[in-house]
Amino acid sequence: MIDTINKLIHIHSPSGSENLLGEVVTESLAPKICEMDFMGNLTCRVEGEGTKVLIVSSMDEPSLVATYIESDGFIRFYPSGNLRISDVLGRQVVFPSGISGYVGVENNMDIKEITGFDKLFIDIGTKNKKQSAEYVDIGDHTSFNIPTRAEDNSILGRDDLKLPIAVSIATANEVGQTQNNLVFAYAVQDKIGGRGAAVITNKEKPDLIINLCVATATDTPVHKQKGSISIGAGPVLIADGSDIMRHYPTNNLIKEIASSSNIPLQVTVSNGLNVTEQRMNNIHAGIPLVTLAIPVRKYGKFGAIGDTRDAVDTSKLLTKILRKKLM
Amino acid sequence: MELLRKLSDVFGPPGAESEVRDVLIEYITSKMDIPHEIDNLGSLYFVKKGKVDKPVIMLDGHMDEVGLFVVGHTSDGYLQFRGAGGLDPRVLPGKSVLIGKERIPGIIGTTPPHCELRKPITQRDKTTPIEGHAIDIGANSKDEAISIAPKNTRIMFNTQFEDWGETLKGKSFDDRLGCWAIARVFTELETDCTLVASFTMGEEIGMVGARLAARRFKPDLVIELEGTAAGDMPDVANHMVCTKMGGGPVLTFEDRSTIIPRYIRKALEETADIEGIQYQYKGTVTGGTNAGIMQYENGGTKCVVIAAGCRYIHAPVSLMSKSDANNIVKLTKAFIKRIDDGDVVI
Repeated sequence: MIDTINKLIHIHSPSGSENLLGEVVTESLAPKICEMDFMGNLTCRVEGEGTKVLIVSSMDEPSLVATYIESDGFIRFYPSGNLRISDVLGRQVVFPSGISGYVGVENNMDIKEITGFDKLFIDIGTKNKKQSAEYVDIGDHTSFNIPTRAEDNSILGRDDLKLPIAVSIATANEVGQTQNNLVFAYAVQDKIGGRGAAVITNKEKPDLIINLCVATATDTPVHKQKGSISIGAGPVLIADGSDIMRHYPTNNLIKEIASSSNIPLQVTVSNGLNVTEQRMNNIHAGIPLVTLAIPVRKYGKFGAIGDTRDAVDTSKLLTKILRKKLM
Repeated sequence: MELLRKLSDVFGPPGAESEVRDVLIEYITSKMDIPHEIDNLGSLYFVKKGKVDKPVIMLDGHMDEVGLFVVGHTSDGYLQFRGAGGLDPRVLPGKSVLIGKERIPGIIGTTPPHCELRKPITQRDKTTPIEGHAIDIGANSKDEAISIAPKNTRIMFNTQFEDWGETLKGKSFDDRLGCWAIARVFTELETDCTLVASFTMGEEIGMVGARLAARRFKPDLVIELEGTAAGDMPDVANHMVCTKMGGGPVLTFEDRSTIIPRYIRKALEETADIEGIQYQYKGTVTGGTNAGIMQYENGGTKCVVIAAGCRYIHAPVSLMSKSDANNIVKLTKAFIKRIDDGDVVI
């Protein structure tokens, strides 16, 4: 697992430009075949006779999209994904060409005057529009340059640390043929509305969806006392929530398997809106869906810390779930 | 521009697009002997069958326009209303409107400045929300107002199309311009690709017709033709100008609903270069089109957007450039021709 995480965690995969990550996912799943659609979504099949189960994880990260290059080379942008000014100001960003820059604002501007993203720009150190255009194409997405580190028990990086992808790859490689018809899906453009996942769901028409994602751990100094979701304490079953109904029978099966296999399982409910799950759930008059997550401490929009053991345990649990006859 | 004049002037708020449909049926069937289809929601389609080994290309635009609808009546005979589509309340006061297909005239009431002066300074410049406005149709009682314009009656702005030379003035260029361009490309282009002319209903209230259209024809490519927002106003910074009227066809790389596949957008840019057509990007990641819904259908549908920048869209009156309109037709035809010839693989 740690090797897979190490391969993935450094890769920039802004929404709409997930191709580099897609290549590594494809290599990691070989010799199994990955199919890619025109959006960049990947699917890898472990075919069986029974229930068609779609295991979805997302490949993208929140990003900025270049919309205009000023005559003096500064790049104007729009946020892609749910970002605030405070999330991006002063951050180092990287364009697909590999050039990096900083998100800046006029030197004399008071923080109260920064009322919108139109006040910000990206400085890549070029002198004019022509020079910037050599590195940046209008429509390019940046990702955020945040140091990454993956060790035995500690993973540090950005967004979801690519942990759902790593767990999915490990499970696909481990599970072997089962009584279910498995489709491991790696979706693009999740952070801008679950678009890739919606397309995959529409195409595959599964009987059951297992959404692999991260759950925000709340084991920070104060919350820790209250027994909230913690990193290092095992996978998280998001059993229900205010956004959509999860599939109770499969939830119960997951709890039973975790218990009988001595895999720690944290159970919680979601109090937020998961657009991706709603989109998938709404297709074809409702597809049963469960959410299995890896706990991650989130700091701001990008900084994240996780625990390798949680990824290992999530993969073990998922492998055992998929080997059971589902539904 | 006679077709565009007719399309701009007719009544077509969301859910009441029949007059637009009639104009399109009349125009297309006058040019070619071809049947039309109307789906259960009211979207209109024409299909020109091509060779089986060639792609199915859907030209899509929406028939509806942003408008208003009656939701109530005051005791003194005013109509209370809400917006049908994304309306900016700043542009409403004092505007002339036409109510229902009978086109009953009315005015969105506003208090004169003399009365405003009696308000505290802090309240004078505030925009009144849509629900704070009322339409005056000259009725003297609630019963009279109800008999003239019952609840749910649709309302459009009272704007007549005018040809100012290079500039065209009218209403609902979003998306009658698209309908006009589709009708022209569909009737004028000779191609071996199967062409579907799709005139959808209800885009302004949530892209209602888009899903059915995409499912019905399973296109290999959707070309969305749109009138989009131009922001080339004196006080707008260059990087905030969404598009420029007269700046050529607008190629969207991304909006709030979709990212256009880069290789298709690049093929469009290349086509514009070959044809000597100046183009521009939509410089803001805002708004959305039917592509935002169609992309999810049939296991993923490729979509591209070609638009013209229209000033003051989603308002009572819009302006657009005649050469932009003609160039989106020229670019669309050339692009399809290249697909047909195998120069562009979608």
